[in-house]
Amino acid sequence: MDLNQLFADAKKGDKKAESLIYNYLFERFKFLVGQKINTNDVEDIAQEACMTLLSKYKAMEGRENFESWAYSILKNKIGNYLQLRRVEREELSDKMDDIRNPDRGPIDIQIEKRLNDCIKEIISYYPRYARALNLAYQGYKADEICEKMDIKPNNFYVILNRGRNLLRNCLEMGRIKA
Amino acid sequence: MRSSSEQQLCNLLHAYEIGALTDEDRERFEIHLLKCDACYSSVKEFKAHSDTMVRSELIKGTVSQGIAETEPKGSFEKLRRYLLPDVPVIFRPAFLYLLLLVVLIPLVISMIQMRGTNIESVQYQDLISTRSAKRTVLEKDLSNQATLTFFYPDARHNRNYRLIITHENGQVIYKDENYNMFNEYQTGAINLDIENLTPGRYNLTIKDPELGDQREENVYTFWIE
Repeated sequence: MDLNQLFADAKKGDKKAESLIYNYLFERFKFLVGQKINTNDVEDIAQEACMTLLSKYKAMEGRENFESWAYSILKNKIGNYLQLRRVEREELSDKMDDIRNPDRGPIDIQIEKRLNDCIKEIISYYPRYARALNLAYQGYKADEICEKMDIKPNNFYVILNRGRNLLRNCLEMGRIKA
Repeated sequence: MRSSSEQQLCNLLHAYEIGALTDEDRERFEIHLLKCDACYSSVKEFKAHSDTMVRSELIKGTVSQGIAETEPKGSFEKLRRYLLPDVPVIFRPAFLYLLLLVVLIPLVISMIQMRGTNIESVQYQDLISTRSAKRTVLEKDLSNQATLTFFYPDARHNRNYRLIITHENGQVIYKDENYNMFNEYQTGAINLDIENLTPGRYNLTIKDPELGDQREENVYTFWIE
């Protein structure tokens, strides 16, 4: 689905396009909010962001990218939500970091066991992935990991994605190679 | 078709899932998720696993322990990993060292051989018969060795001839009774050590013993200066 095209159609008064934008963004906003916040308010925040977007998009100037603009609205809504919960401005960025790993209830033991078994296999087969993963677990970000592993960012992302593919193969077929 | 910048953003997928992106890149990727169906589906589909990967202490422990176990233990293993890392063959240090050896060893050997050899320049002079007006001079300053070539029209290949070189004072400095090194073009050659020869005029005389006195001797004159 071409979001920018839908946006252009909606601006011309196409109600169907407007409705499609709402449904499309509501799903994605829910997902993104859920990545950051673990409360029952996820849907409310996503819905509020969508409503704001629909009320303002006609006034939006064409030079801005639609998805960047939509994301900025969502980001503001999340910020406001956290503020309403009396999170101070200075803590906001920390909070944003912390909520990357929000407590989402107990871990699914079966998933954990299968993942663990697959990761054990991958470590010996593809140690560079394990090393990158280990540094990420230690809290390092991509640029720092690249420095520690003495690799370029592109190589880092390739290592991660190759590791992910091996992991998926292992989870789906029980072996790391297709 | 995705543009290259979009494709680059797609590459951030797993780094996003495991929380390894910087704030700036995370925002870029989340904006990308709003329009990229493939990435959105992939992240959503793998979400249960990526959440578990990020949260599970068991998995973190496995990775950390696994890394420790795969670290090289002995010096041999360290060396092997250094020489044969997980990169294309032409970039492996082992390959580069081998290439260096293949190039360097013959070079070093030839240099050693050259150092061990006393290389001197050699003068080459074509002698022509005394009937010619040309004055052939071997210069002692140039080198101690001289190669004299001479054309003898009656010479036959593999036949023995008598060669004598005499100084103008009559002293014989070279004598070969069985010289048979003429080639098929009636040309012969001898090497002469001129270091200890006194300067002056020398005659090279070639005679065919089988002809006795029937033919004139061939005489070639040269000077050492």
